[in-house]
Amino acid sequence: MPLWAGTTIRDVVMEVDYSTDVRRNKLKLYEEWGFPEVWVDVPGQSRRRRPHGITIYLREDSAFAPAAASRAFPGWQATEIHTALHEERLSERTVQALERIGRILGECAGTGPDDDPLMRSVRRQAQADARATELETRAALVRHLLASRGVPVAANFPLDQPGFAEADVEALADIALECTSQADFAARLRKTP
Amino acid sequence: MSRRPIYRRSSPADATANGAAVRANPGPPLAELGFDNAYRRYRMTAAEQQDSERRLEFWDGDTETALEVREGPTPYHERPSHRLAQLVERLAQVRGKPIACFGNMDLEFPAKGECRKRVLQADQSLYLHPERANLVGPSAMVVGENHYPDVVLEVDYSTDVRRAKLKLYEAWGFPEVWVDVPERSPWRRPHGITIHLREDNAFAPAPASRAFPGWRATEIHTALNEERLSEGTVRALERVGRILGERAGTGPDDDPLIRSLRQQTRADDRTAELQRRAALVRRLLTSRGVKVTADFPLDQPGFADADVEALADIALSCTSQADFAARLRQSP
Repeated sequence: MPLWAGTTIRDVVMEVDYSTDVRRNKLKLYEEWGFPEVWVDVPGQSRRRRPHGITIYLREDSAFAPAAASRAFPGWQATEIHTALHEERLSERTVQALERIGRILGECAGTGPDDDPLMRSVRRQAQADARATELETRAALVRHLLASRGVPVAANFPLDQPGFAEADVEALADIALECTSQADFAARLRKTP
Repeated sequence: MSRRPIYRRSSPADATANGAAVRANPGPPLAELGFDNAYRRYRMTAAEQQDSERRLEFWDGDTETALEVREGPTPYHERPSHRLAQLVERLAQVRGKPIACFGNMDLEFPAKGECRKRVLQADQSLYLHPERANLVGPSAMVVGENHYPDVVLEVDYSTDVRRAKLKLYEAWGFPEVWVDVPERSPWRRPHGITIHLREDNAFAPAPASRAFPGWRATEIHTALNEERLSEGTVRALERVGRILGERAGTGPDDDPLIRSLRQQTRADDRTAELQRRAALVRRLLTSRGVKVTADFPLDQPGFADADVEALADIALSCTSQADFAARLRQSP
């Protein structure tokens, strides 16, 4: 990324100190070149004798200062990031951190999970499943009310009736308590606004 | 001291391609491989290679020769492999089980008999079942000792993998190799991805992946090169993720982040459903002339657990709001 090309500087740069020590040279360059935030991670299996963990360097008055948490990812703590980078599977703690930080970033940007196409699709699937269950429940209620009044009713009624999915539950109850037959229920349902 | 070439096709490793027996061999001598001027060659001893963290395309133990891409990594070369890791992460969320991306790990054909070690590095190596990978270290896979990656990705930005590396992947027994020529490649070859599947100990091009069932080459190439996830890519990820999930007996709710989001969705839906049921009960009670307060019966014990038919029965037979509450407490 040529800095002189008018491109936006990166929010976060990460360096992994496996067999190197970024602090000796590269970190000074990042500082002089104006980078706002650099993470230096020393992995658990690192050959270096330095303590394992991540150090977050934040730009303060033209110089880097270590910080306990990221500024770009507000409140994501260094310990949480290091754990997340090295754990075998996403832990509950990491999931909670990702959700917490993601929601903060979303609030800043005016976006949320539904703005991500895959998340939106997965959530819609969950909502569609819930909606199907809800409609089954409503249909069972209508059949129950009709049966309790001695009105004969078919097994899947009124799931396939026009207007059923859109009617609210109070309207369905009203019709079920007033109608004289299954056909009358269907006719009244069609007239419901 | 020069040594005679010692690679023989009769020196196989005892390898299995993730379950299937494979006659793996170290491949042709370096001189017979078609590494061209796109690669820089230099001497690297076995000891140096052991400690090296350099990004190598190939290291040949017989001639102690290392090969690097002359141009070095550019964003155009790096992007497809990073993007593949992101895509696979999303796909794993739908499947409900992690998929490991090991990046440009060492893929090693071990010294055996007269054969000396050789090492390849891919642009991306994927394991559908990380727990089975049984890797010795964090970044090395040894033919005959570890499972092969289910998919290896090579990005041909300034190189032509078909001339040399592909022959090695084939000889070493890899089950599936994707070769992507990115949209912005300077090559005159058509941009796109070629999927090479192992068939009878040789590679054959295929229109779709075997490891990611039904993920078509055209879909993969689009997904690796588009700026943002398109609707087509999302549908493909969901389709393939669900197929993998069905095989593994897992689904989106087995992924902790997706589970959390879906639980939030269900909790919101459940709250709305309870409010609708409360409205129903109030309507039934008022239709019978029973007086009822505004939030009744949302706060009543047993309301959230009662099924809607039981609520309707009680609402149609009770004599007052208090009687409804008492009957609700007694309902099973």
